[in-house]
Amino acid sequence: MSQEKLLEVKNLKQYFKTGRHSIVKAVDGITFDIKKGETFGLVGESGCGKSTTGRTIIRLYDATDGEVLFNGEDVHNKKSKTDLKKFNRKMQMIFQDPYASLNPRMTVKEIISEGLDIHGLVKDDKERTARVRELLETVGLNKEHANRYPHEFSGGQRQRIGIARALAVEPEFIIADEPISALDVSIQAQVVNLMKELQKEHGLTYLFIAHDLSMVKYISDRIGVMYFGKMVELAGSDELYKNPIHPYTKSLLSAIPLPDPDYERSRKRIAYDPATHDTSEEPEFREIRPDHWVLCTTKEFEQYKADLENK
Amino acid sequence: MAKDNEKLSKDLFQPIELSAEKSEELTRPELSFWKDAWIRLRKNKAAILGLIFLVIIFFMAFVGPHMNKYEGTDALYEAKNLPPRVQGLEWMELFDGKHAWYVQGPTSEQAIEKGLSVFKVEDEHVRVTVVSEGNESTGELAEVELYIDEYATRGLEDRYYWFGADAMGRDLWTRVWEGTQISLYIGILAAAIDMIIGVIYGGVSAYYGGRVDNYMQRFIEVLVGIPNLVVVILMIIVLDPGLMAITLALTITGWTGMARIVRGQVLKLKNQEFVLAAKTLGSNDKRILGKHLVPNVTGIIVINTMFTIPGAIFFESFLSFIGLGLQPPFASLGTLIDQAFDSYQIYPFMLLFPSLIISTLMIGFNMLADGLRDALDPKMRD
Repeated sequence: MSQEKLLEVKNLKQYFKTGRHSIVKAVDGITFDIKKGETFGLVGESGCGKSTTGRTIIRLYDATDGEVLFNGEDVHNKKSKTDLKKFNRKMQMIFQDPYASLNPRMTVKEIISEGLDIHGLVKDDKERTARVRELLETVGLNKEHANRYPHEFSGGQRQRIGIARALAVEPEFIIADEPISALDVSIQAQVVNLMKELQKEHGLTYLFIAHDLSMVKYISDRIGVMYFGKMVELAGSDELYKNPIHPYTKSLLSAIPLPDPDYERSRKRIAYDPATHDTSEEPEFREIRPDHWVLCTTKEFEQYKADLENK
Repeated sequence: MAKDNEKLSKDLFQPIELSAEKSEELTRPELSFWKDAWIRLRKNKAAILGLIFLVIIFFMAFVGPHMNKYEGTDALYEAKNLPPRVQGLEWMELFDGKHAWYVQGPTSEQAIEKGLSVFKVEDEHVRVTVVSEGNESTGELAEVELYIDEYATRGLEDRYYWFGADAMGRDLWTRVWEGTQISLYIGILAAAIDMIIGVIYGGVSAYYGGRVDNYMQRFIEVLVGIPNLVVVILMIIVLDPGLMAITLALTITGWTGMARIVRGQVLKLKNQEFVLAAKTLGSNDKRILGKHLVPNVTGIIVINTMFTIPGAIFFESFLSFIGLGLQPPFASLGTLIDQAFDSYQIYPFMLLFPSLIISTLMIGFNMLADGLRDALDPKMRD
């Protein structure tokens, strides 16, 4: 894996106004970068801002503050239509709900070829049909499915149509917003494996948003843990699982069930209590080990370091 | 347990061949949205009946006026108020071209004599029945029924007015179907204009949201707040009463219902993931509205339009009935009913036919629209 940064997110903030005086800080100053060719997992509980982060990066929302650099270019300052179009081709998204993410009134061919038409990637209908069939085969569907409507497919098949739609414009970077959480466990593996294969074949970079930790560990190279709009810990996936430092990460990891009755009987959930934190100063994101970052205050930093060494 | 004794031998089972290719196969036939809806509509008997009513009325509206030799504007003084007469159906009281008159007099003989002289009718064209003998001592009058063959009396035996003739001697059959044509025209035109304005207005209002939506909705509320009839009357006073004025008057406030429905639907749809997906692909607003949002509201638009048409027809008839509608020589079902209403106790047939047609039209549209609602509702999809 190269060390070249594909995406840099710097102090990204996304606030929503919910009333005249109330503001929801969905994403509150997060910083991370994603290297070319890697899969970056983003985990956290429901409502912690994972999806909002993904949607802000791809410009579905206008960021309140902060920068998103893609290949060194600021995404959110792009104004001209051609620049935007170029950016739209490079970054794509796979959505959570396979039932809501496909327009029920369009055929599979129309759905997949939409990007082709917007970006003028095909000259005529013959070429369009050929490309759609090729994409359908890439994601493991029959090419005869092109004229069907989405409601005729199962959840897994629909999700693969969604993947084919994203792939149609040949993106470099794909944001997968909980792509498997609405699927059966048996189908989850199918979709994740397909994504892994595609990554190898097309050299894709993923931002994989999920709350299923076992699946995130399986697919990700590095994982970021979010809690209430803030990134609390960021490390390589093995490192994070072996040496979780932040109490919230520990709590999350302790919640993973295993299909092993003996283990399950003795498994203890570690409850996370935000009140245990040191409040003497604003916590900062610090590197506790090479490539292992934690949100903590100076005091906590010393304590975490000591804990790590005593392990 | 009895079940345990039933040993199932292995050869009763057959393994299903499972291949990767087969597992992705779809067995349902390919169906487009409209084909699917049609299959479901066909199952609905009431809707099909409504559709048949409408087809017949539409057909008659265009073919009917040419089925006999009379023009809708041909006035024949001698033929005024002639009752309906149909070749071959003369045995039916309704279509025998005869009219029953009731005459009162001190005695039945006097009543008959009075009647015959008033109607100037020859004996051979009239059948006289005594309804009640008078009673001189109590002063009760006698009543007789003169059943007069109007066509023969007026020397018009070669003419057949299928629905009768109106007070100016014009053929009602032709006028009724021409009126149906005009009523349908007004209804469909008003519904179409409502639809176009309503869909665009509602779609834009919901899609852009925020302040735009706020102002656009307040504007609708102002329009809705003014009583409809007042607007219509003002419109008709300002414009010359006629086809265009009525259509305009109907649409000036009529589109608000459609706009509100479309807005509600688009609001619901615009944050769906397929719209977000289109945005990330770089679709512009026009494409998202036209290709993603509006097609998903089509069902509701069609249903609402189908309910608007009979509403517009009815409102036009209502306007005509209160004298704000079409001006002569044009006739719509409403003006025909209005004219017939003047003498409906004497000539009920004049009121019967246009009312029957307008009722059938309303019922037909409503039954069909009801069926369409079931057929186009995606939640009914199996």
